[in-house]
Amino acid sequence: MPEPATGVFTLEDLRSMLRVDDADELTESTVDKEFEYLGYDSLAKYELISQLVRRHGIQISEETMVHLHTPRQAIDHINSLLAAASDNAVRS
Amino acid sequence: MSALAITGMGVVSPTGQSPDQHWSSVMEGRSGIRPIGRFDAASYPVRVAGQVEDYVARGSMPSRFIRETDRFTQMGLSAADAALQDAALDPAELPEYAVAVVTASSSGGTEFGQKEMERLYQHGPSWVSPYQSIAWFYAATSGQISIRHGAKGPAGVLCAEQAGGLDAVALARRLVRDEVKAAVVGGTDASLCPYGLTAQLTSRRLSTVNEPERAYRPFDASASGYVPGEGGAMLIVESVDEARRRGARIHGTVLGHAAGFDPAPWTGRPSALRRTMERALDDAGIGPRDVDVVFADGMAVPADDADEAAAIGQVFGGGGVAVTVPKALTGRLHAGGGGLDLVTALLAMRHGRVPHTAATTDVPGSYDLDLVLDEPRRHPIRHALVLARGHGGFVSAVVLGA
Amino acid sequence: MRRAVITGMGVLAPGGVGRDAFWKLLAAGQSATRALTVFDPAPFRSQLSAEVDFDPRAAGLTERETRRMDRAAQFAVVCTREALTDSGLDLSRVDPSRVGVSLGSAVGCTTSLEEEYRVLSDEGRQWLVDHTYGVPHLYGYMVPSTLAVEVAWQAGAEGPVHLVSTGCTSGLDAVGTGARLIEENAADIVLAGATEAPLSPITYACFDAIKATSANNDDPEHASRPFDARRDGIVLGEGAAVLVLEEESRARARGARIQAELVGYGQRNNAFHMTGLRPDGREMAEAIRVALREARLDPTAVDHINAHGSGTKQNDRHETAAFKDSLGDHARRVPISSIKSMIGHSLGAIGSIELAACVLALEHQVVPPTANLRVPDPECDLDYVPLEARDHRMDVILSVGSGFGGFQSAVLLAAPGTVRP
Repeated sequence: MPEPATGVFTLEDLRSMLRVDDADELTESTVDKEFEYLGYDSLAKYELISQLVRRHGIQISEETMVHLHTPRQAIDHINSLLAAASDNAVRS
Repeated sequence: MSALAITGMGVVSPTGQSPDQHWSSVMEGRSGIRPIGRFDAASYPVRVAGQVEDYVARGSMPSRFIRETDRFTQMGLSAADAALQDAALDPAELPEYAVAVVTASSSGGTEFGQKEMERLYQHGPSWVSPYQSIAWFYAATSGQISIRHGAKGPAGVLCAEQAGGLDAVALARRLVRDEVKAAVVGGTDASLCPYGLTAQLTSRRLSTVNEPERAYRPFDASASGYVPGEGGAMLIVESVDEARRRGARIHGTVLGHAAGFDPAPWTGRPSALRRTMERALDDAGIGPRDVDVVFADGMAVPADDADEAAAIGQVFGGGGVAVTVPKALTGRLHAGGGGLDLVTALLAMRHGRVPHTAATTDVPGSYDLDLVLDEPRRHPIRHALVLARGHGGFVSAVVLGA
Repeated sequence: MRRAVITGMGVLAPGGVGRDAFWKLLAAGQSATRALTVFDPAPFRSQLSAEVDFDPRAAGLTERETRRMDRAAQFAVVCTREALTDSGLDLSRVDPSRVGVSLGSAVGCTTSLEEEYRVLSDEGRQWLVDHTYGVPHLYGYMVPSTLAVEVAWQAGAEGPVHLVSTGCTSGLDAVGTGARLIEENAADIVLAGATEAPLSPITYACFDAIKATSANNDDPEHASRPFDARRDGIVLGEGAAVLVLEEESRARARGARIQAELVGYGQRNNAFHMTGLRPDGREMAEAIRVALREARLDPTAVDHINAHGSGTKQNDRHETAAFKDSLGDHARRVPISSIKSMIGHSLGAIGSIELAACVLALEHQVVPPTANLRVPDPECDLDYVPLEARDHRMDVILSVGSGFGGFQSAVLLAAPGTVRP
């Protein structure tokens, strides 16, 4: 596994997009819990979708979002989209 | 109609964040009106307001929740939490539809709305938060309280500006009579953001005196208008029978209510104040002589004060009843004002003290009003009448008993 | 016991101004939804609307009234005038202190608040907005209760007056609450109804953000498709309706034409989620049961349901479950329609507009259809009346609503003399 490059999407980025500022909310220890269990509802996911477009120019469809059940799944998926986007940028 | 017991009180006010704190501020005449601190108000003609300066919604609510709601809703939730705790009532332990929630709302999530409109016009629609749809509207607080406490009975939201808080109590009373065991009822407002203040300025009733201790002086010869404030109160109400059955402490009872509406200004017809007070007394089954104190609306606009003083005189006789305006310490809290006045009146009954109107010193003789000045007055209180007037002509009156 | 009956009605809905135009549209199953024209829709996901073609001057408002009032207030005042005329009431012979107002609105004067914000903030550039540009009526726009003030002034009401703002059930709750004022002897006449003029950029941005509105921008006339498998959200609309509620014996004594009786009202909250609905429709079912109990009616007495039918999958299934839960087997036999297929969803106003539609359905003994319902959602397996109006013998109509904040409301209307002795 290569080291994460700078700019790769982290838990801290996710926390910022979901507007979390409590230190003990959404941490490494809860990264595999389901969003619903952690208290993040459909509105929180819409917030994340729109922030990703604004800040990174990447689109996650609602259908995909439904299947991202945990913070880790969301972070991994976002990173895969960011990696694909930067690959395209290099090639073009 | 069986009397309605008030068994819980929660307060988020410029004068304190619990009934006890609020009461000691009222007794000491300690004002919550201070220079506006939430934004730079230097360019506005009004630079003081009643603010809950050290309000922290955190603690009981997750930070995420705080980003999803306007301050008015956070204050409503804090007050509702405290009121339920005070009443030792947990809706989860009652039958599924046994608890109602009724709030008054005067301006909704004004600060949240200003921020989101800024994002819309500065950056475009995709910048507007998904939470705007649930934070800005007037029903936000009733909805959030229902969810937080699992209250599945009827949920009401009434808007009548400052009169709404008392109307909400009347609606809760009806629901307790007809279909639920208990209700969370009250209101809050928190519109001290630049757009909220600017809108309030256009009412032309705001005081532009910017010394906090002189800005809002109801019934004073130098009355210059009112000061806006933020916060409010929530109450728990249930039937007296139910409260006794479960051994709850009864802070007081709601004995009567009436609402009326002032005719349009161009008709020249008289205000609804007198009739509304009389009907509230009728509804309570008592006469003017049974009332020991009137919590007046106290707009501090000379024409409004004169109207109100005259109406009180018509009902109670000139100087016939002790009158007070403790909201001089908080400013007008709009949807939050009625609930807070009820709390103050309940505490006054408990302590046998009529609060003074701290900022007022010189009441014109023509008002013929026994306004309690300088210091609280020791006096047993059997019944209190609480009066509120809302922008546009709303009038509401509640009669409280022990 | 004191009871409320309906003796007058004014309605302003997309597709035509006034009662007759409204019924003509519904009976024809014609859709009034179209491409949004009131502002540039280009930056928005949903570019659809159901607009009222409204000229305030032609509707009888003076220049001063038009300037003072938000569009929602203009709607409410015009409907109030129509309702009072329709009722035949001579207000000069009525004690003003016995006249009340119970008006509903979800978002109040949002449109004016937003327009003024743009000016004061220089298009969002200044957080510290410039107060020197504040128009005289700005505070009136900030407090939605102003809408009730305008109606009270119009009717000369000096009794209990308030605005009910329970989101998208406001229009049902305002009428239900207004009837209570009569029942408990706080008033003899109540102007009860609702108004909404929410078609502004911030409203569209709000609903875009949660993807609740339809993005079927290529086919505006067929965009609102409740109970259809292809539906993809709400089409925002605007409008108002005001009813004259009158104490029954008073109405009879003056020989008023009683158009319908309000026989039951129930409201519950799902205490679940601000925008989400439980799939089982449990709390809406309970609201329906409460209304039936008050009316002392069996579920089998319901002859037609005016559904909430907002055009979201979540709602349509929630509602179908609620009807089955509350009405049992009878749910399969009742013709059900959503007129939002034709006039869109006008948020707080729609509940009152739908009650106006119920009064007209009773009068004509015709169930209006659900337009655009061509591919029924198999999960919505009740008698949702598609495309064409249906002649149907009716005494009792149920109208329901559901809204953000968890509110679930139900109102029962009956043809005069059919339910009560």
